Amino acid sequence: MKRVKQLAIVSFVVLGGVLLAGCQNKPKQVDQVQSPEKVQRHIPQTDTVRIVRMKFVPDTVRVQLGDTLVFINNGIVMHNVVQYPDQKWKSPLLHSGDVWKYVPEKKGRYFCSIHKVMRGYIIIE
Amino acid sequence: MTKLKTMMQSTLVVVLMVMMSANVQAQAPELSDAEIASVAVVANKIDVNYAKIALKKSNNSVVREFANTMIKDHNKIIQLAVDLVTELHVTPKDNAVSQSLKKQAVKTEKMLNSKTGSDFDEAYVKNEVAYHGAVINAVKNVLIPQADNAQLKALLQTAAPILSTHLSHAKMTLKALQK
Repeated sequence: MKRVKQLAIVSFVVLGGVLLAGCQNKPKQVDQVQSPEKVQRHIPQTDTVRIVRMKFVPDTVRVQLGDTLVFINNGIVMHNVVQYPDQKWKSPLLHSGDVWKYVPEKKGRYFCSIHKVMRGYIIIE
Repeated sequence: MTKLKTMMQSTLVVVLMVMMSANVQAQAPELSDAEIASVAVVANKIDVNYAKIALKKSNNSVVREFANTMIKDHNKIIQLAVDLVTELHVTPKDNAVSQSLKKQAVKTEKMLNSKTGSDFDEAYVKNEVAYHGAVINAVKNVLIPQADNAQLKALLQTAAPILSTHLSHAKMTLKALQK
C-alpha cells in the first residue's frame, strides 16, 4: 500500500512537472509573428538647412518620411522656401533670424522665389 | 552680347579709372572708411533708383519682380550701412568715386527714361547685368581690401554674395526676355 502511495506521489510530481514545462515551452503566437523588438521603427529626426550667404546649406538633404526640416534664415535679406517649379508648398517670407519647419512628403527641388537662382533638393530615403 | 560686354566694360572702366586717377602714381586711390561707406551707400541707392524707374515703366511681371527684389535687398544693405556708420560715429564722405557713380547714373537714368515697352525691359536688365558686374569687381578688389574697420569690411563681405546673386538673377531674367 505504501509502495502504491509512493508511486502515485511520484507520478503526480512527474506529471505536474511535464505539464509545467509544456506551458513554458508553448510558443507565443503573438511574439513570433510581431515581436516589437524585431520591427525596425524610424524615430523622426530633425535636420537643419541654413540660408546663409545666398545659399541653402546643405543644398541637398536626405531625410526619411516623418522627418522635419528646419530652415533658418541666417542671412541679412529676406528669403522664402518654395517647391520648384509648381510652388505646391511654400514658406512664409523669412526675415533675418526667422525659422520655418517643414515635413517633406515627396522628394523634389525647392527654391527661393525672391532670389530665383537659389535652389535646394530634398531626397526621401 | 557684344553690346552688353561693352556696356559692362565701360562702366567698370569708369569706376576703376576714377579710383586710379586720384593718385598721381597711378595706383588705386586709398579710400578712407568714411569714403568707402559713401561709395557703398551711393552704389546701392543708384540701383534702387534704377528699380524704381522699372516699376514706373515696365509692365513685364518678371522684370517687375526682379526690380522689387532689387529695391528690398539694396535698401536693406543701405540700412545696415547707415546703422553701422551711426554706431561708429563716422560720417560718409563724398569722394571722386561716389561722385563719378552719381554722374554715370544720371546718364543711365536718362537712357532708361527714353525707352518704352520691351526696349525698356531689355535695356533695364542689361544695365543691371553691367552695373552689378562692375560693382562686384569694385567691392571685391578695392573696397573690401581697403576697409580698415572690421565691421565695415564684414558688411561689404556680406554684401558681395548678394550682389553676385543679383547678377545671376539679372542674367537669368535677360535670357527669359530674349527668348
